[in-house]
Amino acid sequence: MAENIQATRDAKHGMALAVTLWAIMLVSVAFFFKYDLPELASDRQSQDTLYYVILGLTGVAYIVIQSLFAFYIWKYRHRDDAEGSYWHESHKMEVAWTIATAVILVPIVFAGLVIWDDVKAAPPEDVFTIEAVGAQFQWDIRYPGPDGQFGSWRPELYSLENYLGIDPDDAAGNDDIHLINQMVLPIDQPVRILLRSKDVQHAFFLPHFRVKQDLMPGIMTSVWFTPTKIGEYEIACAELCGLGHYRMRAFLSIRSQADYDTWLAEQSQAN
Amino acid sequence: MSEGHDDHGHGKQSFISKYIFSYDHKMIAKQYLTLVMFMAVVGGSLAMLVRLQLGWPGQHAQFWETLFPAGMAQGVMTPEFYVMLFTMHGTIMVFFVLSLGPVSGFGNFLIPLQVGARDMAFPFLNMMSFWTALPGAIIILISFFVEGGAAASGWTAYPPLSAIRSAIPGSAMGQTLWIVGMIFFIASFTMGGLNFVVTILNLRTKGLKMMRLPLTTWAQFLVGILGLLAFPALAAGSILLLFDRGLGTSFYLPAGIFIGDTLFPHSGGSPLLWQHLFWFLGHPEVYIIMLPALGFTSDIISTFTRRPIFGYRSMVYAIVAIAMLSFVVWGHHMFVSGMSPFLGTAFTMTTLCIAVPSAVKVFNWLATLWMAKIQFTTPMLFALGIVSFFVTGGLTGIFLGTNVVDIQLHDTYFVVAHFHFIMAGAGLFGLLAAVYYWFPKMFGRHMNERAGKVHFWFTFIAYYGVFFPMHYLGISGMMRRIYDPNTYDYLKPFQNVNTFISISAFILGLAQVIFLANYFWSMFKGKKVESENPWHANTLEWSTPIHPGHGNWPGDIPEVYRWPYDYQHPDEEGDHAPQWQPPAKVKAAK
Amino acid sequence: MKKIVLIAFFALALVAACGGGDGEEASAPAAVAAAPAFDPATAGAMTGTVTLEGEAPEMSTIQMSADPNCARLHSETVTNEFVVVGEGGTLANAFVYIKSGIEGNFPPPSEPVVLNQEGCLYSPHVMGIQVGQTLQVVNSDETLHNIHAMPKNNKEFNIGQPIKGLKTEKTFDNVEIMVPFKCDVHKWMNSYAGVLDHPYFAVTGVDGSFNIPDLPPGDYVVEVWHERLGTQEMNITVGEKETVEANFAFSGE
Repeated sequence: MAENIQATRDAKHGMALAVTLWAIMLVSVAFFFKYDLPELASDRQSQDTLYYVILGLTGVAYIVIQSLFAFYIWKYRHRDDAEGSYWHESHKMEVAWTIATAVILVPIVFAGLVIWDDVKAAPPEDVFTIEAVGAQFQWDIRYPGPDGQFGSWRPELYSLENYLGIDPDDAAGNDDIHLINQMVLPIDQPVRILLRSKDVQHAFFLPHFRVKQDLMPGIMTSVWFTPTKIGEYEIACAELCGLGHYRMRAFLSIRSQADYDTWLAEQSQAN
Repeated sequence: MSEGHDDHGHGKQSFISKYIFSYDHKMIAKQYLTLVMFMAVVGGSLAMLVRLQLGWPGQHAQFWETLFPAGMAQGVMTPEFYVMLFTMHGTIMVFFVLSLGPVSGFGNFLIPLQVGARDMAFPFLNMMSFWTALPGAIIILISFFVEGGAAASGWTAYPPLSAIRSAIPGSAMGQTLWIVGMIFFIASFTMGGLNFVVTILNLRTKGLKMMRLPLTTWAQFLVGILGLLAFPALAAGSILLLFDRGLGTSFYLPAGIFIGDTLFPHSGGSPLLWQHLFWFLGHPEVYIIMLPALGFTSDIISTFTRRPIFGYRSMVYAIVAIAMLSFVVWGHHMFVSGMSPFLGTAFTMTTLCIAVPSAVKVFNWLATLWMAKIQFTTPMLFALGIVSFFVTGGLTGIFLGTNVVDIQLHDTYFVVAHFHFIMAGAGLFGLLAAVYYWFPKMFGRHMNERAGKVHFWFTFIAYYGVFFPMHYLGISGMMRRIYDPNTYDYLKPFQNVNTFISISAFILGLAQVIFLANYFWSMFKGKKVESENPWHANTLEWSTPIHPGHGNWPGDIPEVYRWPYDYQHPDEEGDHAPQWQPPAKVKAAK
Repeated sequence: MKKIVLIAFFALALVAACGGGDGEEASAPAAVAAAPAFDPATAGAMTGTVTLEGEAPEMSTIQMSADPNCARLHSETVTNEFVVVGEGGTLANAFVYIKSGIEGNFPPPSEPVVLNQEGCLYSPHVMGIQVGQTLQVVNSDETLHNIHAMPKNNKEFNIGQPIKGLKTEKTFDNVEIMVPFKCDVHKWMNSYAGVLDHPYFAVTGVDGSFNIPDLPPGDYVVEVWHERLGTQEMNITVGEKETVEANFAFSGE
């Protein structure tokens, strides 16, 4: 009997837990309407679409499951007069919810594959290429200059005056434009960014452009995308690279083609 | 195997053989749990410091300097100290708390009791495994005190940051000790895993078929296999890293690495190799932490709903599937690493496969609650908390497992939120639920229920308060492992979220004091257990005496007649029929 | 010197940190100069000028825009300080020191050498310091600087100073010509310290001049070091109360 008194008192905790679960569910879902991805500034709309699709599907699943869970906790809290149940097997139900889960996942996987192929596909032919080199704790941005060719580089040439190790004997390198933590791109023009690291791993992260790619020492990686919105943005490092990781921040300016051309001419001049 | 351990007398052993170099799996389990609690306090305190910085970046109170003269000189945390804090928080929590606690601690305690064995298959190896884990933990702790401080390359220790001494202060001596500590840990865990697998396969008592094992033991069985197959990869990887650091090899270091003003002479290696080796362990490791918690949950829920676990068979198949799949999904940690995009595709498919068995588990738990008579004891509350975390963390896994969406969310706080629910949350709550549930069997006393409930409420609500808002930070683009998000203009608006998280974190931290006090108080002063089966549970450990001696059962080992979930059996009297209770005569006559 | 000294309990917790150490107070008044083994009244001195013959290399512009917190401190373009030349080819930032011939023990002075990080530049660009003397590194900028010393013969250190006003103190244990300093956040920032076990060194100003006073009489090898132009040696003899003039000339491009 003493046990039942205890169980009845505990039942209040069950009711409280149910209410708490509902409350957490409501509050946590509500804030998803307040916090959103940073405003998109590139052509990678499809990535966002898939994100929202998954957010919707998992959101519904989250609401349904947590609510049902809370409801059961409420409803089946200990009652002295309750009937027990030994029912513990239903082949049909188990098969049903296994298949249902799988069926919901298939379109996500499929859509993911298609979009992934798009993102990772070779860039269009009119793409222009720049280079972003990561180092503790700085982004060196290189434009090929008027000749459209990058000068070759060698690690042996790295120095305080030649961060990128550009070979002075290579004529293609003479007009290369080297900027620290500054990147300027024209709108609506596909750009490919070659990524390499001088020291440790970094990650090139453009939060507003849905672009993230690790820089792996010894391997040249690349990303390509098309900026679609004029404005000033930030470039972040997203892979721990040392004590100044949080300060490995650069600036990306998206400009109209005309403004970009003016800027590029100025840079070439200054060079 | 176990004949030699029939001695269940108490006074015969010396202090050393009983409490220190004990062969008794129950004592070894208690040793592990004591170590785990100490490490958890250290690891948790590191997290508090991390939250101090993120909640209020910049100047802190001057008195911090007296605690950390270099790390927080003039009350300002240095970035290298911050990196060390989260590195060691991750390392200690993942390996020395959430692996050692539920697996080495409760695995040791429960496996022989639940399979009906007098001890583990290899008691000496078992003792050795603790005495290998302990030096590992001590080495990890010592590393805080060496030149440059403890390791500071993240718990993932990606080279070259972890391989080159001048890359960050923690990569000097601290990283070496980290590797050595990990090798000790891995050795210990491998010995444990071997014991688990052999004991469960060979030492089951009469009548205990594999499909009659409690889900806790099933989980420990799979964890043993996972550990045996996965950890050697990290052991090998770590030793190669040690070579790169000290012997001039180039397993992970390509040509052209330039740090400070030095061009390093390495050539030919690739840091990507480390990522493959690390995550080949790293992903199974997640399940090593999670599966025991899911096992505890199933058994505790069944006990306190007074219902058989729903879909026992599919529960077993689900964890077997999860365990097998865990070996082929490691690449989802590397979607943006630069590995072949084809692998990205493959790993997305395998990863999302895991959602299916995971969902099955959730539905089974829900179905178990249906028509239940739930008793909201403290362990039950924690077990229900695990279900809620598992749902939350499982669903966010779908975002991260989809490579396209992962591009944006990778290495953001969304990931931090995700794994703190699915892995850390389930693991921590599993550990706590297990302590509350099996405490009577360990010490013959109950933990204080009232304090336990207070502990649950603060912990559960604060846990959501800490980790759910991290999803918002993640989708807003806040990277992991950054010392001061306000460096970025686009992250400045979210400082209030960070402050809220930090306040929740301090509440979460303080709530654990209630637990520790309750644990140690109850050990000596808790309400004495009146019967050997205080929860009216069905599994075999509850057939042992209130204070089981070395050898576990004073007489013969009981025979098992049924599965462990006969609650509310229509043909049996009373509301439960333990595994050692012969079938009802009525039924037998049929 | 960095050493770990403390275990702190935080809610029953043990957390550890690195810091504290020797050398903080050690170099204070205790070190009343153990008298050099000569009569100060007989001391001579060495003065001179370091010049660069030929054309000075053109210094590249520093891209201060890399960090807005640096850029806002400079209204004009700032150039690198690898070679700084004054009127008439006088060479600044050359480190002149007695390379050999000095005997005796010279306790380190109690006042620190200050290395200031201001406007995302090091000041001074080149400095001398005695073994055991305190180096005080000050951050005067509202940005992260990390002071990364990369000695060959002393202990490497790498300390982040995330906010303005922070000071860190360090000492060197061994003689070393020269210890380079770098800031990895602002890669153009570099500085050098010459670590010696005696006080007979100087750094040239923009006028190229240097002065090493209170030099005991004797025969010495003097060396001048410049970060880009290399080193030159000269033998000198200092008589009692004599001021020796030693001029050095590097040739340019």
